[in-house]
Parts: sequence; structure tokens; C-alpha cells
Amino acid sequence: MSVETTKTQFSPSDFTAASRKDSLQQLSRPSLSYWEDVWIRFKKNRQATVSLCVVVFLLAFSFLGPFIWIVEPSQQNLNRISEGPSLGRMALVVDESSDEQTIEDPSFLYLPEHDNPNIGAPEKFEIIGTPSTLGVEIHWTPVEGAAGYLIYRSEKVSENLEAISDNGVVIKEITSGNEIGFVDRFDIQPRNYWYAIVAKSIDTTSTQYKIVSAKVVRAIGIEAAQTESKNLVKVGEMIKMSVHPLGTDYLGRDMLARLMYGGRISLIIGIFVPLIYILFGTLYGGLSGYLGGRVDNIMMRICDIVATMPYLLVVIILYILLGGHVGARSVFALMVAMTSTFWPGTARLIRGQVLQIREEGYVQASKLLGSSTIFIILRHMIPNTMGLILVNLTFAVPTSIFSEAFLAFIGMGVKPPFASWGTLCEEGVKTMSSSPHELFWPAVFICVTTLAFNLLGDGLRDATDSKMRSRE
Amino acid sequence: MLSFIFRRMVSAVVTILALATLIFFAMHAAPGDPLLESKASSPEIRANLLKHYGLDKPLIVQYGLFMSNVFLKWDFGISYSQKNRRVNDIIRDHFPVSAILGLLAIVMATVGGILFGALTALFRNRLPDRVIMMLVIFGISVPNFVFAAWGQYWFTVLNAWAGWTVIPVAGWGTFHEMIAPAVFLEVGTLAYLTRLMRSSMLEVVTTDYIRTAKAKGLSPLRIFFSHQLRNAILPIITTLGVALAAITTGGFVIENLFAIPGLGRYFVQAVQQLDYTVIMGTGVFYGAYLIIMVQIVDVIYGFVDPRIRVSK
Repeated sequence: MSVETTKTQFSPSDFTAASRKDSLQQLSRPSLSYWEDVWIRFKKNRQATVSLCVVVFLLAFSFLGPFIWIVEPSQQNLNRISEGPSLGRMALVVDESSDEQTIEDPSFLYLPEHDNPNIGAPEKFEIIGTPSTLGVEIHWTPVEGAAGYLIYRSEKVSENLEAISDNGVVIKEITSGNEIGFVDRFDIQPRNYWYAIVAKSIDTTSTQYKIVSAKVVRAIGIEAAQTESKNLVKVGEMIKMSVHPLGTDYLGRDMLARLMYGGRISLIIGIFVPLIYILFGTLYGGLSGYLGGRVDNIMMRICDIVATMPYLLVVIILYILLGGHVGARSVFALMVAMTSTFWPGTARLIRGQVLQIREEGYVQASKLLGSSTIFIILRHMIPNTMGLILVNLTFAVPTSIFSEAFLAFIGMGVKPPFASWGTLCEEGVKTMSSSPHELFWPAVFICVTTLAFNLLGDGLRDATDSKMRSRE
Repeated sequence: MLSFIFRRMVSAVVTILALATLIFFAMHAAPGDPLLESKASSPEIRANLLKHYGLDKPLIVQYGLFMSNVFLKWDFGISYSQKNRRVNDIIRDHFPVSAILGLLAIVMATVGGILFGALTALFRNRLPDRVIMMLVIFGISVPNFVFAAWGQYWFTVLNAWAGWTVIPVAGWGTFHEMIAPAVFLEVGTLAYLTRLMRSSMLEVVTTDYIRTAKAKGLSPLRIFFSHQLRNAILPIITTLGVALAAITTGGFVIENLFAIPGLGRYFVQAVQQLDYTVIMGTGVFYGAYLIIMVQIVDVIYGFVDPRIRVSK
């Protein structure tokens, strides 16, 4: 189009109507909606995208995992308690009918009448049968003048009594001279053990000793083996036991299945609690901010009162009120208790945002053009607070999971038949020193979830808030 | 200023009364019978016990009595599960323990948070910053009971290895025994405050008054301490109330793990045994304590930052 700059007088014939199809402006880039823009900025943030992947993985693990790993999380197996993580174990099938009675030599009825300081050691000290995780049977020959025996056990290589008593413990004290055997069943793992025996007289303990070592094999009783294996099993066979990749807990339940199940409850609480209270807080804050004046004042006073109350205390009180300790109602009670105390923060935030948007030029312009209240809320208020709500929601998830875990730890979380990562941690702490994996796995899952949602929240905040772009 | 303090006080009183009301009605509506078979073995004994605890009166009268007893006479009633133990005695014996532990933890968290936050800002994007921020992420994302349980275990190992009690992992009394529980109590808050302090420090750097100070030719040390640090501490003060609440409730877990005879442990025990009077008494007491502390922090903040007095 050429314009004559010198011409100052116009007549109607100088103008023609512009065709609607003609775009007067050629856009150099495609126009982006707000959410497209957010997505582009979000994608650039590597930390945030990785977090999103982790969150998706955690959801898949908890909700789709049970379809791949089909193991009943509540299935107990008392033969296999507190097993460490492994990808498969072989076990020897043994006959577990060996009795618990004391092994005595009836022909050797000797009761010492006076102390014998020079008492010797048993002539023979030997392992009977195959030492297995179900028991190590030790026999010895009786000693003249003995009133009892001390049996030491060590897990480290020990060539003399001193080493055994330093590295190990007295596993059994026998108080009768004619006992000639003992079955050690105390927490036996498949590894090497060293046993030592020392005879005792009435007041003195002998300086002589005998040592024997045992290489313990993993074993399983014939009855238990029959439940592990589909085929008929015989004593003396080696069978492959069912796999527990992350080990088992103190009741022999599969950790992986329990983590999936616990994750489901933790994530349901962690996602639904924030969803509900943020929805409520948004409505409350939005209404309060929009109505303004006296209603706003009263609503905000109520909000202040709820916000000033120590929330965990109130959650505990509400939890008891709703009968959370009854078990079946615990998840519901916990969710209601948490939602009814967490909302004031969101309400305040949204109210502030609504008050701010109400005064914005585009809302004034929209009003001037005659748009209705509903239109302003739908077209301006909601889209402009959506980013804030989303960020708030993301940060609320780890807080809720944390609170749930904390409450579980003091016995006010979800109760059996339910389980969560929090209750798994609580159970794990009890057996922490002997089998640390029972605390480790749920703690790792809580930790990763918290971290992922926090970083995701950071990324979303940076992506949704255009003001944040200039910072950092 | 006076009207500001007055408003805070009214707000505190209203909140405490609301909390007490909530706790009272919640405990009376909660399922379960405080007088079980084992205690009230015959109808006569039951009637006597009901009378003893004042449970025979109408609920509204009980409520009036409870409120007047608590707020006028400072009488929190008698425990259901511990015979003849008055809730007042429980609070008097065990609250100081929790208060000392909480105080120690909050001092450690605040001092540590300011120190580490300032350090990270000073060494921004360099090694100390990265190391501290890594630890902070860890501190925020691991629940404190996991920290405490693991820490307790490793301290035991350390003590066994050293052959003497380097850091006691249970018990209460000496300052030595307070260290481990206080550290685990404050670790989450410390991490949170460090992060807050860092971002606050970085925000202050870009302000005009720092530029002016630089233009005036003040020494970097002087700028750092009397301009940057002083102004950056403000947001820390606002969160002290929340931090105190977090540390006090965190005590519920730590006191249990470390066998500390604090009020938090008694509160948790009472909740587990459904000892209603103890729950009501300690609950109202804890609530009042935290609400008053939060309001005190608000007032202090009003003193430090005059803008707050006007806007609130």
C-alpha cells in the first residue's frame, strides 16, 4: 500500500472497505495460549521435567504395579520373616520334626558333689546332621565332674575361645552335667558359625575348650516347602523359593507388594486431601475476596482463627472424633481431619489474588464493555488464578504425605487393614538394627515423592508466573 | 502500637476459646467409652465414677464447668487412666522438659538457618552453596522420625566404637543428653529456614539501598553485616511462629524415640489410651501455648517492621 503523505484532504471515495480476509498484520510467530506458553517454559526446565517423570513413575508403581507384581501384600509367611532383598534363593528341604527336648545321656547320671577346679573339656564336640537355618544341632561327650556347660557362638573366624567370646556371645548356658546336646535356633543366617564349649563345675569354669565350625545352609521345613513349590517336594532336595526382590517384613510379607499398596494409600491421601481442601479454600477465598466488605471481614476472621490453631493438634483431635483409631475408618477420618484444617492458607492466597485481579485494567475494561459477573469469573478470575492453584496443589502433596507419615508414626495414621508408607516406616523402625531394609525402602519412597513434588512445584511456579522469569 | 498489641491479644483469646470448645465437644462426641468394664464393674461403681468425673451432668453444664475450671481456676481435671493423677501435675512435671527441648531446638534452627543461609548467599553457585543446598534438599524431604531413628542407631554404633558415650541417645537431664534429640527435632526447620534465608539474602542484594551503600564506598563486610544480613533476617522472624509449632509438634515423635519425659510424649500416650481428660487438658494447654507464642512473634515482628502494624 502506498500512502501519499502530502495529501491532507480526504474524500469518502479515497477509502474502500477492507476485506475481512485480509490480515493487516502478519504475525511472525503463532499466537500461544497461556498454557502452551507454560508448557514450553516448563519443558526447558530439566529439573522439573525429570520430577514430572518421577511423579508419573511413582503413580504407575503404586497403581499399575500390582497388575504386574501380583503378590498379596497382606500374605504373611512366618517362615520367612525379615529377609533381605534378593532375586531368588535356594533352600534345602529338611524334615523339621526334630524335637525341642533336651538331649541327655541317661547312662551318664552324674551330679557333682563338690567343686572341681581342674575340670576338662569334652572329648568330642561335633555338629550332627546338616546345619541349617532351621537349627544347628551340636553334640558333645559328657565331662566328669561337670555341673553344666557354656556354649559360645561367633559369626567371625575364631580359632580360640578368647576370639569366640570377643566376637560372639554365650548362646546357651546348660545347667546340668548329663546333657549332651543342644539345638541352636536363635536367628541363624546362612553363613559360617563358630561354636565353642566350656565345661563348668559348681563354682569354676574350665580353662579348656573345644571349637567346632558350622557352615549353615538355608533350609525350609517340608510343610512350608510344599506351599512354596507347586511340585511335590522331598526331604533333601534343593528348591527355589518364591522371590522377594525387596525382601520381606517382620511378618514375612513381601516388601515390594506392600510398598505398592502403601504407595496407593499415601498417594491417595497425598493427592485427594490437597485437591479437596484447595477446592474449598479457593471457593472460600474467592467468594470472600469477591464479595468484600463485611462478609469478607467475617470470613477472614474465621479463616484466621483456623489458621492460628496448631494444625497437627487439631488433626489429632478430629481424628479421634471421627473414630480414626477404629481401623476401617482411619483413612476417611484422616482425610477429613486433614482437609478441614489445611484450607486457610489457600483461602488467603486466593483472596489476595482475587482482590488484585479485580482491580486489573482488563477486568475494568471487561466490566465497561458490559460483561456479567459470571463471565468475569469464568473468563478472567479462574484462568488467572489457575496457575497459582496448580502450584499450591503441587506443594501441598508432599506436605500431606509428610503429615500422614508423621501421624502414622505416633500411632494416629491409617490402621490395619490399610497401610501407607508412613505405617511401613513406623513398623520398619522397630526392626531397624537387625533388618534395615524394612525402614529404608518406605523412607526412600517418601523422600523421593517429597523431592519430586517439591521440584515439580518449583518448576511449575517458574513456568506459570511470568514475573518469576526475570528472577534467578 | 498499643492497639496492634490489643488486637493480637483479642485474636489469641478468641482462638484459644474456639480451640478449647472444639476439643471439648470433639472428645465428648468421640466414639468409645472412657469407663470400660474393667473400671466400672457394676452399675453402682459406674454411677459413682460418672459422678466423680462429672459425667452425669448435661453436656452443656459440663462444658460450662470445663471452661470455667480451665480458664478461671486453671484446673484441667483428673486423668482417667492414671489413678488420682491431676492433669495439672502432668503439665507441671513434664511441660518444662518439652519447653527446654523446644527452645534449644528453635535456637539451633534459627542460628543455624541464618548462618547457613548467609553462607550460601555469600558463596552463591560455588562449592559451599551447592553442598549446603544439597543437604537442605535432603533435610526437607526426609521425615524427621526417619532421621532421628537412623541417627540414633548410628550414634549407638559410634558410642560402641568409641567405647564411651560420645553422644547419649536416650534419657534426659544433662545438657549432654539434650543434644541429639534437639538436633533431630530441628533438622527439618533448619533446612527450611536456610532456604528461606538464602532467597531472602539474594533478594536484598538487588535492592537500591545496597547499591547506595556500595556507591558510598562502604566496605563489603559492613554492607554484608549491617545492610544485607539485617534486612534479610526479617522473613525469618515471621516464620518463627510456624517453626515453633512445627518443632513443638515434632517433639511428639522425638520424645517417644529418645525416651524423654516431655509433655508431648504424655499427649501421645493419652491419645493412644483415649484418656479424654488428659487429651483435653494437654491439648488445650499445648494449643494455648502455641497460639500465644505465634501472637508474640507477630507482635515482635510488628516492633521490628513498622509496616506490619498498619497493614494488618
